[in-house]
Amino acid sequence: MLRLILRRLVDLIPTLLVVATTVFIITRMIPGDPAAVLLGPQASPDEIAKMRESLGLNQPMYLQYIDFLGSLLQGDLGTSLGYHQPVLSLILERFPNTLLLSVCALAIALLIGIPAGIISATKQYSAWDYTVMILSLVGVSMPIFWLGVMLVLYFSVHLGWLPATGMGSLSEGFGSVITHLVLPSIALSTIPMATFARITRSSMLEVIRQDYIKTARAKGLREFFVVWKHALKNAMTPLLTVMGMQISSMLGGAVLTETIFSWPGMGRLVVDAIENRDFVVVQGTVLFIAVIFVLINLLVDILYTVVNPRVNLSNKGEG
Amino acid sequence: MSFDLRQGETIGIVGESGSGKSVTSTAILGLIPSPPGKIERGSIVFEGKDLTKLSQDEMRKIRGNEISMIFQDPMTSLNPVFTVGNQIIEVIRLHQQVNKKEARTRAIEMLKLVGIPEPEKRLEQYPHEFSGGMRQRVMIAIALACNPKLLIADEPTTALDVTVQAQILELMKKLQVDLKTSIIMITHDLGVVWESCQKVLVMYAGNTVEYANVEDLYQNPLHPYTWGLLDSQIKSDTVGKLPSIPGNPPDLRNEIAGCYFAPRCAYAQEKCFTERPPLVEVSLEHMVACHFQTADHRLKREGGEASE
Amino acid sequence: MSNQAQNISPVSVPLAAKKKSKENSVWRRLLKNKLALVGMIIIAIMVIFSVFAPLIATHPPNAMDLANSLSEPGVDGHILGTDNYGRDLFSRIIYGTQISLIVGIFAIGLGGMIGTLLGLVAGYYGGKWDAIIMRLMDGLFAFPFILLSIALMTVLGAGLFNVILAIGVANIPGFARIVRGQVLAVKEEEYIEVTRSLGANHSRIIFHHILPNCMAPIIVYATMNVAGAIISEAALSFLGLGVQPPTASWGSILKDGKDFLVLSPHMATFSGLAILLSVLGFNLFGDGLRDALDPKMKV
Repeated sequence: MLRLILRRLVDLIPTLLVVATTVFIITRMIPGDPAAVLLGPQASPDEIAKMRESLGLNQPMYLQYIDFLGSLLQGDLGTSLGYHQPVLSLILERFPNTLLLSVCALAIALLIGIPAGIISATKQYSAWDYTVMILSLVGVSMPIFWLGVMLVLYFSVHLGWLPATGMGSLSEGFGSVITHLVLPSIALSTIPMATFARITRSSMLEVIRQDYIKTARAKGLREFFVVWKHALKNAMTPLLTVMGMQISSMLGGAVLTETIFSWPGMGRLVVDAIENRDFVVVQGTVLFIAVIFVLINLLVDILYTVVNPRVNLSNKGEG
Repeated sequence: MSFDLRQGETIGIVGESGSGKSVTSTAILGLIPSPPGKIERGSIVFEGKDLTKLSQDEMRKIRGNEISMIFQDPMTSLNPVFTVGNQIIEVIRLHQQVNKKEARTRAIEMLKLVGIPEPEKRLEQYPHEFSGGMRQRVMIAIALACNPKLLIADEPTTALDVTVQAQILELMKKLQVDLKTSIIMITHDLGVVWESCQKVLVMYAGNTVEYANVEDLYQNPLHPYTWGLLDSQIKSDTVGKLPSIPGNPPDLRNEIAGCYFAPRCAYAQEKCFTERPPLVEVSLEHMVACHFQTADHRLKREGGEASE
Repeated sequence: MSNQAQNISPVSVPLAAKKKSKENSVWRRLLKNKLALVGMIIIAIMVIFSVFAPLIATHPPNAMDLANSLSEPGVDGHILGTDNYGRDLFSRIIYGTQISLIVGIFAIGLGGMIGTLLGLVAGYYGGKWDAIIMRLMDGLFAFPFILLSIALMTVLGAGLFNVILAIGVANIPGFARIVRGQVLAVKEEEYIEVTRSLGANHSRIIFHHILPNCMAPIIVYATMNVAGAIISEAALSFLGLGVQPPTASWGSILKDGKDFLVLSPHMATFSGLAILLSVLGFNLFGDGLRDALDPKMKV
């Protein structure tokens, strides 16, 4: 097992190289002189020249690329132009906040989406099933930045129940963080929740017709265990595939959610950096998120083997 | 349809696919998915209890415990994501008050009993690590783990290779003697019936058309459908293509007035299309449902090729 | 299932007839599916709105009227009220349909075309080509979709063309994967072998034999991704990275609406509803299309 994980990690190297290269190319695609763009229109030629020097822009492209990769290997994502701080430390400051938000949203999505899908599948064509299916159709089509705004409008502006922005702080008590967490988590959880409900339903419907479910019933198992033990574990494989993709889009969704709710996470950092034309921060954060995503996918791959004994890690990546 | 079965006895239920054999078996266990299926009338009496009257909870205590079942396709009947041991232990712990360790010991015993070598090791493996024949042995182990009084075997050998088929039948026969289990053997293969059953019930379109002792049925089959079935079996002198009964079983969603088999029957006459023949005992313990096969009237059976 | 598929050899069945009846049955199944029908109606309305925007809109979309800014829906002939510059919200939303559809169609067209080509090459030639292309796609796939668009937009700068480019590029890896998987399945079919042995060259095999057999999943995937592209455009515009003001885009209306949420919630509400409905429309249609073509399709 451990050796296979290591092998998968080695397999990730080309992917990560492409990720880094993409980010490098994108930043070099900036039209005009990057130094001038970075410093803005007010910069003097002198400042621009200095900036070019410090960015290493006077070197040939391949040397720049090697430098770029070299500093990445040392964990150096550059220095923010606006904050005058290493980008990595800026990111690491905010990463836990994004993690908190995403984990909460994922938990909500899983805890509601999967049971809703299971009940839908066991009561196919019932009123419950239709309700869940319609809601989840709307859910997967939801522009979450709009949902976020609407949640603020209703629960903060109209009802005044929950704070609209910020994340509170532990010094104001645990409750403060929780109340700040509610609306952004709900907004961020909507699409994955709806997706989980749909996938769970369809894969449960397929599993529940299988012979081994008949076997489980013939054994005298309670329907509850037939569904939640025998069927669910088999339905997990497609669910896991989707979960990997959903986590990826959640990292993107966090950018939008954090903007609406002024949640001090990585997404907020990116958007602020875009507004301040702080490209080094944008580049670093995008890279960081991509690496996180690749690692999460590795985790999902490993979970496959736990859920489905027929999947052999070494054979993965074929399809 | 109606039949009774004594302890240690084996009855065969034969018929083509779609003739309602499997429905009968799942009905006994109360496993017909409802809706759409429902037992309209009739009773299933097991050890003095009417199974159709039992609550879901009472029925669950019987399933896998007093009556268990093995299915046609061992490749799909075992849950692929649980170890074989897990699946045997589950049924043991469900119906017997034993702890994990005792259940495990019992599971190993069962694997040994059904002829799986190295049971301790095999217990930890998943179904995909077993061959088809081995999986059916595991299914038998699961079915027999709680010493059921009745085993329903739904085409237990159909999906297996011929050599493996014989082994599985042999195993079932041996276990039946050891454990004194009654067996309902559902099959389309009269050869299997001949090998393993004392009584046989021929089904067509959900109805019994003939019911007899196995020897009686072979020596003196009465219903034209049974003739067709017998003709379509592989015999030692079979040359070339096997004759088969032309046509398909009727769609029971349509109202049919007469004998269900009439449209495919080479001997059918007008009466057969308008009036359904009752199941009558035409000789001792031999029942048949045909207008022209009665105690005092017999059809003359034509050769095997008659239907072509 | 697979046995049946193999039994139907292309020679024994008149191809044209088979194709025609297949198309008919797809249509019939699609029309029977009520949700797909709803999706089709929504899409049709969107098309009508964007084509006839000048006729439907009650006001010029960019005409400011600061005296009447932020007026409520229904006041002074403003069906949905006005925005913070006094522009008619209804007209802006009608014109916004154009942007959504243009971006949806062209971005998916661009991403779909490049992705399909890459997927065809990777799947058909295999080996080194496959390895290089798919590694590249894996790398691009590692970026959360919206983040890749954001990164591209920051360097490209705002503007309609750049939005199409950014969303289009972000769509490439998805198409490449779907098509490659499909090609690998189709390639093994016997009739491809036969065609090859008859001396057809690679491009003929790829475009006349393999591509048509990949079309069903491509169409379904494209339909669903139009929905994704519409959301992405709105998101980019919402972040101020999309089309430039004063062009009406649902995302930019929502962005303004967010700033005036307390004073006039109608701006945010209606622009968002427009996004939700159009995305729902394409998703419903895509779902229906998949079910009509092949419910087992993995898209």
